[in-house]
Amino acid sequence: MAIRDIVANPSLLPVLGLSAETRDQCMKLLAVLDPTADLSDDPQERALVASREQKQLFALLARLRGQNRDAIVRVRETKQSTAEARQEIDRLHLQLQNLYYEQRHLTGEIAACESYDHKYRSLPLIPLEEFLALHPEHQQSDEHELMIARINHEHAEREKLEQARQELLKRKQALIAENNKRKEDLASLDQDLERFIDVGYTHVAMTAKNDPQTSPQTVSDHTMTTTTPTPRLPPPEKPEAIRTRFKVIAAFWAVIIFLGFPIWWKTTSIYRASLPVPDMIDWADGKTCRPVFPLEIRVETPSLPDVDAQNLLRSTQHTLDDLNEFSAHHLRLKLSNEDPDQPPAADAADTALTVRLLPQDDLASPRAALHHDTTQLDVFYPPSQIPPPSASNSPLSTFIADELQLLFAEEKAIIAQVLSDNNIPGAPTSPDLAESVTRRLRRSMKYADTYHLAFSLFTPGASPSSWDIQAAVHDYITPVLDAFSPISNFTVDTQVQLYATSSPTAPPPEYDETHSAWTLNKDDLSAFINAAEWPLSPSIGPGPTINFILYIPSPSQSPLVVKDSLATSWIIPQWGGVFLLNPPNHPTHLTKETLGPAFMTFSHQLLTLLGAPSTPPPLPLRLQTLTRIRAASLLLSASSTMGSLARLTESLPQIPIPATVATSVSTTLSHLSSACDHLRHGQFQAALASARVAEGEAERSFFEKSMVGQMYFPDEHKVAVYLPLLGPVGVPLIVGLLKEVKKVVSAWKERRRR
Amino acid sequence: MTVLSLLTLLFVVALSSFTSATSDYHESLYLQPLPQSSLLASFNFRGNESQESFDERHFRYFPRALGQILQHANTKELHLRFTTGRWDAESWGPRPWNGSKEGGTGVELWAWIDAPNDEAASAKWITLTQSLSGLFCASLNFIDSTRTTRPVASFELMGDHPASSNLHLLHGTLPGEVVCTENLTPFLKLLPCKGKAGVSSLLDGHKLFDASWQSMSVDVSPVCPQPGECYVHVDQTVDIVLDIDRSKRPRGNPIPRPVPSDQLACDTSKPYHSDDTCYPLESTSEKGWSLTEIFGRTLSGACPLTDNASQEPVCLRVPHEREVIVTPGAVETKRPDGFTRCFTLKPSTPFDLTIPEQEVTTHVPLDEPVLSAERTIVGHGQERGGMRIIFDNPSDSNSVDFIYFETLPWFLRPYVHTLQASITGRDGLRQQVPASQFIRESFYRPAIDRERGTQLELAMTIPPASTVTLTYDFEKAILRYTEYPPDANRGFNVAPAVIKLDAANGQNHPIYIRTTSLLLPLPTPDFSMPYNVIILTSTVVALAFGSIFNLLVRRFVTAEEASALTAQTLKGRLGGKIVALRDRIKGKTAKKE
Repeated sequence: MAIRDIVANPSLLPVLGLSAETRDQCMKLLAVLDPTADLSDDPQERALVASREQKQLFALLARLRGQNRDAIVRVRETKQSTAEARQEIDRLHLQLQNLYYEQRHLTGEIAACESYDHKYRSLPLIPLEEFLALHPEHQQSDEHELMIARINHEHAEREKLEQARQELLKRKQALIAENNKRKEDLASLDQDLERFIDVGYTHVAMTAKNDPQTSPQTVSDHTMTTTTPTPRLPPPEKPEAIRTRFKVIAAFWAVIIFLGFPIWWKTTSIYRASLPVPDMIDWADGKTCRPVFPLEIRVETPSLPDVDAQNLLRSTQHTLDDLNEFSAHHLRLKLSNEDPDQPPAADAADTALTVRLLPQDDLASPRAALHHDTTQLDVFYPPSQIPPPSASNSPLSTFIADELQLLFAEEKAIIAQVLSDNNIPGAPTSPDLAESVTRRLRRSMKYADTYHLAFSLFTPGASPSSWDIQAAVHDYITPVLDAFSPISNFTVDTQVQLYATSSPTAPPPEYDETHSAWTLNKDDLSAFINAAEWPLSPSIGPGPTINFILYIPSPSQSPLVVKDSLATSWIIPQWGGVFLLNPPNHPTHLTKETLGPAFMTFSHQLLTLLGAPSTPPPLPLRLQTLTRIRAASLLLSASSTMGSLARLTESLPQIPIPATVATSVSTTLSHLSSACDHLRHGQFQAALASARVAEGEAERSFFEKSMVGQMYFPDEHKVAVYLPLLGPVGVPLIVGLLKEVKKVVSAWKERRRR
Repeated sequence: MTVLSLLTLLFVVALSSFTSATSDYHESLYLQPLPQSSLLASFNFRGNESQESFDERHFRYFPRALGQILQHANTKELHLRFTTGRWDAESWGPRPWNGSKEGGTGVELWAWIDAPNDEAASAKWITLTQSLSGLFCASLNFIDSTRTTRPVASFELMGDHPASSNLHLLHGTLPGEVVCTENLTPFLKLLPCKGKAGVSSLLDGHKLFDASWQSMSVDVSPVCPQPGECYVHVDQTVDIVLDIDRSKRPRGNPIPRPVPSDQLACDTSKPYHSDDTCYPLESTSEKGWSLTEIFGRTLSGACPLTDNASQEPVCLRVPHEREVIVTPGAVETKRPDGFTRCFTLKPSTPFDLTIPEQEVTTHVPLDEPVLSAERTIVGHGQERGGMRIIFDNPSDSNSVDFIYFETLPWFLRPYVHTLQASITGRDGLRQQVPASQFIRESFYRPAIDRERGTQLELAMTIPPASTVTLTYDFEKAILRYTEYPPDANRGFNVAPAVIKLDAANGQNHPIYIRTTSLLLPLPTPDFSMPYNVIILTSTVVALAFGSIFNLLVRRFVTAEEASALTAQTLKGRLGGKIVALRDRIKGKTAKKE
């Protein structure tokens, strides 16, 4: 394609022509300069031609450049104008678009307006023909106006109708009101009529009674009621009705009070026998009985004349009384040979001690000796010491008095302690003696009718497994028990228990080099008895069990003793005794001889546990002392039990008191007083017997089983169960009663005011 | 029955030994492996105390606690049993001691009490049960008159009693009592060696009460071998059947583990046998065990109190071909019967006995039980039920004579006229026959509500090779509200029946069999019912009373008069004001809307 076909713009044509011319000039110059063309020409000339041609070419090139520049400028201008034109076109296009939008919106609006559904179209208007017939002036008007007119017409019509309705409503209200009024008039007429009749009757009655007081009131009442407009009160109740109601309520309450309440009381009350509470408290406080211990001591004076003997007796008694500081416990001397033939009186006192005065020549001062198996004290005196009848005091009488005083010192202390424990003032005793007495008392068992003695052989290994227990008990224990038989009964059990190891918590014994023995610490002795494993169950039947344990340590831990004291036995207060027996050669059978020391210790421990005093040495005397102590402590314990029972029954009104308790209490009280009397007369055996009965009965009454049961049903419980019944029944009854009472009170006041 | 049971033999030996015994003490332990990897261990402790020292209360071999109770309750002969579990007679054969040292499930007690009359005997019986209850930590004090019977023919005196004594037999059971270690501890305390030495040192509560069956017994009876020479004999036994596998488990890790697969013996002949599939073969060898494994401790030597010259306290019944390893020092003696061997012990030397696992060809023969009995409650509903007792005589030639004794609580009221019997032979044919065909004699004492239970004793004969079923109907009583126990819905225990088979085979003492105890469900009320009734009736009564009272007391007026009356009173005025106020508030809220 030739370039001329492409470039069609006339402004470019000269450029093209010029460029073609320039090319031709270039070709010419090239031809001139071609060395191969014509070598014959003069080189000079050729140079000249060439320079000429060159000059023409340069001119042509300059022109071409100029024209090229012009062409480029023109192109630029053309572009500029093109851009401007394009902008204009764009703007116009945008305007056109807006117009389009506007048009579409408008058409939409028009369509909405055209399709709008107005209210008037649904209005139930009267038909067009009717309207036109009513308003012929609208015959000519266009549709729009016609419609407006029709609507206006409708509106007017409706307002008219509403007004009519309101009027009708008002009329209806008026009619109802009138109706009501009539009805009320009618009703009041009825009442008036009734009242009139009533008043008429009362008038008749009043006039019959000729009572001028009430009639004006009735009349005024009448007038008042008749003049009162609605609401009107009911006529006053008829007197019969009031009376009937009163009777009904009274009947109900009569049933409740005279039938219901007694039945309830009878079925729910607790039987409480009457107890002599003040007496019981008096006994407990020691007001009724102050125990005294007059000890009768017989004095035998086989070698003295009566007068001298009497004299000696008197002076000794005098000295004794001077020495005694404890008035409750005193010694009374009595000559035994006063009336030897006379039989002892029924209320004669027991003889506590017999003093035998025996002269002995070779003595400087009097000497006393106690018999070991009787209650006899031998006093040997030089015959020279027989006091003259005139002397009020003599060495012999002082000696006898001192001896007696010493003999009964411990007993006195114990009795003082027992009494002071029960808040009865006793004699002042030395603190050391008092303390030892207290300790002894604390150790000893409580008094019981029957004691069970259990002798047990315990050993940690398998041997010894047998012992001569029958013989040992017979030799060592039975004599003591026989002596005690007036005070208590005893049963004896024995057992052999092998493999009785001490409890794992108990500290093991330690080996003591100095004594070459195994020792138990004194503080650990309480843990020695393995109560969990050793079968030391108490014996069956009433009464406490006293346990005696004979412990044979194993050969590897023998001999076993208590540290420091090296003792082999100890007492467990109120429980029993323990003896550690370390037999030589570890026999499998324990003979009576081996058991001897152990059972000797057990018999002593038994005495201590039973509460016998440690002095005086002879057993009969100690038993007598024990009798007195037991009588005193039983008396006091029974009295305090009575006091506790009295306080218990007073503080717990819920517990029942069966008749058996009342019987027991009266038995106790009678036996207590007899025991007290016996004590006063110095009959201690009889006093102990009475006190035993009293104590037994007192315990029985205090621990009566049926006195415990009822505590678990408090009144709240019963109320809670029966409240669903009592509440709904009780409320109307009580309200009815209150109303009646109020009415009666107001009527009474009314009458008073008159 | 060609081979006499060892236990029967032992029983005879024991009887002969105690008749010749003086004031001394014996103890023994018999061990016998039973089928199904069980082991019967039978402990026996016998002590004598001369009658004189007993009366004088010098106790040496006789426990003092028990002696005191017996003396206090005038009891001449005492039998006390604590049993748990069930003796599986089908696998284990006849019972140890022929059942004579065994009780029904729970606690069973019977005693002969010396008393002038029945009332005194009952009072002493109450004393006895109360005291024993304390001694053995068991609820024996709950044996009251309703659980006490006086059996006529079922129990016999075991000791020798003077003809002059006026003895009364009383029997009581507590089928619901759970026997456990708190009963064993006092039991052991009664022994002279106290579980510290001798065979009793093996007794451990953990193992004993883990057993499949166990029975503890205490028997006290006077024995007079020669006239004028009398002893009080106390015989205590503990019989247990232990599961060997179970007992061998360590105490710290008692969960059973599966056998490791490489130790499994598989039946390779099975077609499906492969590396991961195994049909385990039953082991043909006898189980190996040792005393330490089974009881968890060794036997700590002989009790030194026993007469150790002639005593062989531990006996084992296994075939002689079995290997038994014992602690050195113990001497083994084999008995000629081919199965029994006994061992002497040394004092204070621990003794252990080990039997390794071994293949054996001979087995210890077990006798067949003479009779098997089963007792069940049948029927349905809360009102009625029935009892069915099945007796099976396995012998083909001998008929069985026995005394059947049962006590029923009073709230189970049997109808004895409905007692019916049926017999099934070996051919399986069942025939209804009159009950009198089997019952030779009967003793029946009906119950009295809340005082006494029913007692039924039947002397029966079961023909050979047959099964006899006895049935009767009963009615369940309704208990009082307070008579229900806390776990009322569990049911009420009915004591096992006791069957006394007459002595056979020249034995002196009868065989006893006991059935299992039964559980009787009774109708149980809703326990809140009384309160509901109180409240409901109270409400009804209150309603009725209120309306009647109002009818009687109220005055009747018209409605307007009533409003007028109320308007006069303060209450009425207040009410009116409140109404007005309410109206105003309502009006305001209405306006707001």
